[in-house]
Amino acid sequence: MLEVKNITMTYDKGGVNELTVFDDFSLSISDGQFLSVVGSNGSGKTTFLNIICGSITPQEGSVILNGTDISGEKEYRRNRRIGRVYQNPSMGTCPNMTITENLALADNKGNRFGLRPAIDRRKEMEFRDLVASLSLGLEDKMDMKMGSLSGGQRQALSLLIATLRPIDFLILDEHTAALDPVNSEIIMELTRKTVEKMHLMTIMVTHNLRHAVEYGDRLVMMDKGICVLDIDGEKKKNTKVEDVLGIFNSISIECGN
Amino acid sequence: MERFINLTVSVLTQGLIYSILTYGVYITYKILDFPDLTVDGSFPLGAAVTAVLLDKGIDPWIVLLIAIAAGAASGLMTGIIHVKFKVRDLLAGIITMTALFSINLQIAGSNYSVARTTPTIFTGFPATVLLGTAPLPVKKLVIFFIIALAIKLLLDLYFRTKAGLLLIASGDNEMFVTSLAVDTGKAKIMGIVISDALVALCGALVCQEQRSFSATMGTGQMVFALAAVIIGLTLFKKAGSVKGTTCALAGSVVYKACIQLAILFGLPANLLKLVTAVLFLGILIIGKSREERNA
Amino acid sequence: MKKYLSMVLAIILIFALSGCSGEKKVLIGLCQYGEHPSLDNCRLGFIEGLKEAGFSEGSDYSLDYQNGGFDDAVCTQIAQGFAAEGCTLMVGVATNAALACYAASEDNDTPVVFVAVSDPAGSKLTEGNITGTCDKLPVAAQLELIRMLQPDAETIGIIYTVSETNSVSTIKEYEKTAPAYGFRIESIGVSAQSEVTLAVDTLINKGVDCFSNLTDNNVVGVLDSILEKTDAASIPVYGSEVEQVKKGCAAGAGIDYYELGKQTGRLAARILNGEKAEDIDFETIENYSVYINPDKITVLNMALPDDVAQKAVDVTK
Repeated sequence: MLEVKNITMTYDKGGVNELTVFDDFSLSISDGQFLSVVGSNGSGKTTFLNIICGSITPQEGSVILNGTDISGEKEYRRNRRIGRVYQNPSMGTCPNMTITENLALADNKGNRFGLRPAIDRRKEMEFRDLVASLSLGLEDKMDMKMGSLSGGQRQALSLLIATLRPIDFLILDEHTAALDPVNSEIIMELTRKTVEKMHLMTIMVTHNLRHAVEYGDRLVMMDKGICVLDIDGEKKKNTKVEDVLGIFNSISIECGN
Repeated sequence: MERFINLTVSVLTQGLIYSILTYGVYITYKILDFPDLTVDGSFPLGAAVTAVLLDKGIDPWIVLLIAIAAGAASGLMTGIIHVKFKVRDLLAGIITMTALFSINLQIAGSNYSVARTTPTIFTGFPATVLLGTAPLPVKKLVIFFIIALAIKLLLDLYFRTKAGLLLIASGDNEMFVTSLAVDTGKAKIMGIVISDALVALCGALVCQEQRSFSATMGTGQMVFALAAVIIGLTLFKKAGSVKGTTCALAGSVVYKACIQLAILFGLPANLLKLVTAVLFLGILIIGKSREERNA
Repeated sequence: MKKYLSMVLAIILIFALSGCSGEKKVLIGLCQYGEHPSLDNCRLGFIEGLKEAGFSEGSDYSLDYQNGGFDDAVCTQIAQGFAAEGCTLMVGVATNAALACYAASEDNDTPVVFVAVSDPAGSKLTEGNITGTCDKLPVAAQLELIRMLQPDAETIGIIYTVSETNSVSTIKEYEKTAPAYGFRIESIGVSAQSEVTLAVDTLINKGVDCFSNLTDNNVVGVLDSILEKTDAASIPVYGSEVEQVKKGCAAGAGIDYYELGKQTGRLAARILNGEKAEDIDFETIENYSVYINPDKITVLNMALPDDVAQKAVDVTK
């Protein structure tokens, strides 16, 4: 269970551009839950993710994972339990390294990076099988540089890399936003399979309302740092894209968009 | 013909010695994407330590190890200034380099010579046993060839370990390294430490070969090494089949050969730097245009 | 691959061609640390000294003159080039060039002659097949000259480069000798040429009565801008060498580097005549000359005592 409690977050406090994103914001996500978060620009979605991951520190409030307060943990320490896929396909991998090398690094996450060989024959075969399971034909390109692959291929591998080692939860930060519709669907399907297979707690931020409605078992819509919609279970299953779109438009109009 | 062989031996020897420095700069500049100006200070640091310790009668091979440690410490300083105090990369290097200038003067003064009777790695054990009475230039060439090759192979091996792969990754995508639950700062510092350790080792070898240290010997070494790395990568890098360390080694030899040619043709030393700059620019342009053609 | 092969072949060919000039003649390799008036005078004097001893360039020997551009690594390559060429004799002008030649001669035992090394013993240039001349500055003579031209002066400002051995050792000598002549030394050590003019301002503000120069390459290199500031403040500068006095120093007791070069040339001739360099002790130049620049002395409203005027060389003539 992941709890975000009483968060207050103000950017540039006391400065000319002072901007309060959250004022006493709380949200909790239970184990195995697949939560989709939607909201307009500036609603606080990305700030929310960054606070969970430790990329930014809020003025007040705490992040509690399975009963332990992890607010004080440094970002890199926290990453032992987190997998994250970014919007930009080149952020989740090393572009100048091969697929095998990227996987070898990810495979050692949480362990010491010592002087043992990073790749051996057995590992190589293991990685090949894993990549083959993506059904993208990449298993024959294991020695290609990540940077020479397409955005869709890279995102598929990013997802694989993020979930290669056991993690407590998965963060998907608009991970299909930079892809064309076809690739976007492929990645979403892959996401669903991965999350279901590993029974992972997942937080997906997306601009695509249809994805938010079709995937996951809980949907939260954020606006100006508060949840304006929070549905799960049967209610979520019966929700249509049009219903969510209606609410989304109404808050967007308020904002003057 | 004899002169030709002698010159070739001399150029190869110089290229091989300085390849160690080039490896170091290859790590910071090419792998970590960190322009490390510490080099101009850590290179003479290695030489200063070597000159003083050789003079005190310490075994020349142990002296090399101490010089490596001194270089590593200087790299650690730059790394900590950059990572912990968040000083920009260029400035962090400049700060250490400036400090080292004074430190080197403290260690060995402005000049320090080692007497000819003092044993060096070329005249002491095991060179005397293995190479017997071979002429000194041959001994030097063989020993430097072994050292340059051994370090190249060690580095190649290192880049295949988990730590080595992580080093490459931290130059490629810091965010990825953070996501592996690793402190990118530490990985970066490690790279700078290895680099400056190699640079100081090179200084130490130059000092053993020349039997002298001079406070100004570091000036321009960064530019040399950068040029050598870029020359090597541009001329010899072919789609991943040639290792970066090999390119660095070849670049160092080519650069020293060019200087020797310039001297042979009586090019005034005052123009040498200009010629270097033009050569450097030319190679960069060739590299760029080839890249575009391949793209 | 073909391209690289042809490139390598081309380089080999160039080296090979350059190696084909195999006539057997006396070849002298001269490595000068950098381009600098004093060092140039050393070289020219050296050639003249050889000539006086019966060795003319061209007919009796050929000279391979190389300039290191103040870069130690380049000096190393130059010296090793000499060794590869099979030079009969290597000449190093200034300490670092001499060290490079000495290192290159370690195995083949080519004789080495050095010019203008301030501390041959400290630089370990005394063992083996080597000899040369030492250019210790006549510090006492300089202090005496200043005392005669400025009877009331108390402090002498000196700027030197901390990384130049010669300067560091000369400063020590100054500090040791100055009290005997009733002077105090205000010295500032710099590490780069850009700091020199700042140091001049500092010393002027400290109220030094005059400046005295060493043969410090960094400092002498910006002598013009030093003089600009001292002239404005009406403070005399004493040079350490004739070229400096010509440039606008009021006076100076210094070495004539041309003479030093000639003396070294004569040493070299002895070696060419069959003596072994290791049997010849290095020589320290003892003769110094006093140079004056009467125009500058007048501008600065200084009195020129007759006994100074008589023995001094007037650089304006």
